[in-house]
Amino acid sequence: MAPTRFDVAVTGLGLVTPAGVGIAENWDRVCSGISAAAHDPTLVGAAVDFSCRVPAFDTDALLGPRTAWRLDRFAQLAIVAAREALADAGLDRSTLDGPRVGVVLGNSLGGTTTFEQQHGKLLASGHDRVSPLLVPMAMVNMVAGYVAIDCGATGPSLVTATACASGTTAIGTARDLIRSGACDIVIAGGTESALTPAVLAGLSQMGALSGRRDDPGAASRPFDVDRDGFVPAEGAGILVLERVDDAVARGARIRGRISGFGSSSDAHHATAPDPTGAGVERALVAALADAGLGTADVDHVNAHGTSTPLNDAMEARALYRLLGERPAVTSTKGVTGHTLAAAGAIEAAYTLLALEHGAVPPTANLKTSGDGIELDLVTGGPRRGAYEVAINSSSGFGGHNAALVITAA
Amino acid sequence: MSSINDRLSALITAKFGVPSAEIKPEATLEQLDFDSLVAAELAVTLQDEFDVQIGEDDLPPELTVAGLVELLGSKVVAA
Repeated sequence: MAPTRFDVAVTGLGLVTPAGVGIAENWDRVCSGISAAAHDPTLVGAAVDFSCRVPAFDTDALLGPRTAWRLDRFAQLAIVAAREALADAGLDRSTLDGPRVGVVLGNSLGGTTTFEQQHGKLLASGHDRVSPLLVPMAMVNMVAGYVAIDCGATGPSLVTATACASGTTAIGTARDLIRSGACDIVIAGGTESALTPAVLAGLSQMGALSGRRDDPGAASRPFDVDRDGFVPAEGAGILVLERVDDAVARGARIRGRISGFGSSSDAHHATAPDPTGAGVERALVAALADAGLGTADVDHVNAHGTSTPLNDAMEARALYRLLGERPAVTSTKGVTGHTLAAAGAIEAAYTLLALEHGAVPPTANLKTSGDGIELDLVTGGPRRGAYEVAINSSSGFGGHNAALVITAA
Repeated sequence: MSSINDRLSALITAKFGVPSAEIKPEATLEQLDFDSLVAAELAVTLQDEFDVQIGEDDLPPELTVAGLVELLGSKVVAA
C-alpha cells in the first residue's frame, strides 16, 4: 500500500517487557505463546502473588550507578527502551537536532513503588526522613522529562494519561506533532511499573485481577471461556516516529507506518466498559477514516484483550460488528500480562513486527473462545501471511478508547 | 574521624553510586555529581546514618569530602 502524505514512519523500536529485554527476545517470546506470568517473590502476602515482571537486567550497567537509583522503575524501563529505539533508528544524542525532537509517553500510576516506600518512611520515621526525590521520582510526567534529558530532546515533551490506552494515545499524539510540523522526530510510547501491594490490593478489590494462584502461567487467557481477570505486568515500549520523506532521505530503515489514529470516550461508567462496544467502535471508525482506509482493508488486529470477562466480550462485539471474521486477531497479553499504560505502545511495536515478519503471534492460553466471541483468533502458534493493514486497539478505565491504523513499510 | 570518613565513603558509593576511587578528600560535591536534589537526599541520608541534624544548606556544591567529614565530626561530637 503506497504511503500517503499523512503517514508517519516508524524507524525505531525499543521493548523492555515481561517477554524480554530487546526487540528480538520479545518477538521470539510472543510468537512462542508461552505466558510470562509467574509467582512473584515481592508479592508474598499481597492480594495476588503472581505477576508478569520484566526479566532481571542490570540497571546499574545500563543506566550507570549514579543515575539508576535516582529513577523509579517506570522511568528506568522507559529510558532503556528509548535508548534501544534510538539505536534501532540509527540515531543518537549527537546526531539529534534537539529542538526538533519531542517526547510523548503514556503512563498511568507513576512511581508507586517509590511513593509506597516513602509513605512507609513517613509513618515510621517522620516527615523529615522522607526523600526529597519522592515527588520527582513519582510524578507521572517525569518520565518524559527524564527521557528528554537522556537523549537531549528539547522540543515538546509530555505524558498522556488515558489509563490502559495511554501508550496508544501517546503514539497518536506524537503522530500529530509530526504531522503539524512541530517536530521532525518524536520518541513515543508508554511505560508502567506499578506492581505494588497497594495498587494490586485496589485492583484485586475491584475484581479486575485473575485469581488463578495455582496456575499463574494459564491465568492470562484473552477471549477464552475460562478467563477470570487480567495478570498485572510491568514494561515499556518505545517507537521513533518521523516523516516518511525524512526517513527515506537519511536512508533509515522504515519498520512500518502510523497511518491513522482515532479515540473516543464511553461516557458510561468509571471502570466498566460500555458493554455494547460502541465506544471502541467509534475509535476504530475514526482511525480508519483518518487513514483513508475501509474496514475491508484490515487484515490484522492486535486487540486490547485483557482477559477480563467484561473487556473481552465488549471488544469482541465491537470488532465483529465492524470487521467481521476477516482480520487475524490476537491479544499478546496472553504472554505479557497487562502492562497498563505501556500496553498500547508495546502492542503497537508487536503489530509493526507482525507486519514486518508476515506472522501474527498467537493468543496464549486461548483454548475455547468465550460465549458469543466469533472473531478469527490466532491460537497455537504464529500465523504466517502477507499482512498490510493492521489495527492496534486499546481501552482504559475512565472509558478511554484509542486505536491506531498501522501499515506495512 | 577516620571511621566517619570510612562510613561516609561507603555510603556515597552504596547509595549514590559514586565509585570509591573518586571519593578523594579534595573532591567537591559538585565534582561528585551531587546536584541540588541529590544534595538534599544526602542530607536526609546523613541524618539517618549519623543521627545528626544536617540540612541542605550545610551541603553547598563547593563543600569537599574532607569538609563534610569535619562537619560530621563536629556534629557527632556535639551530639
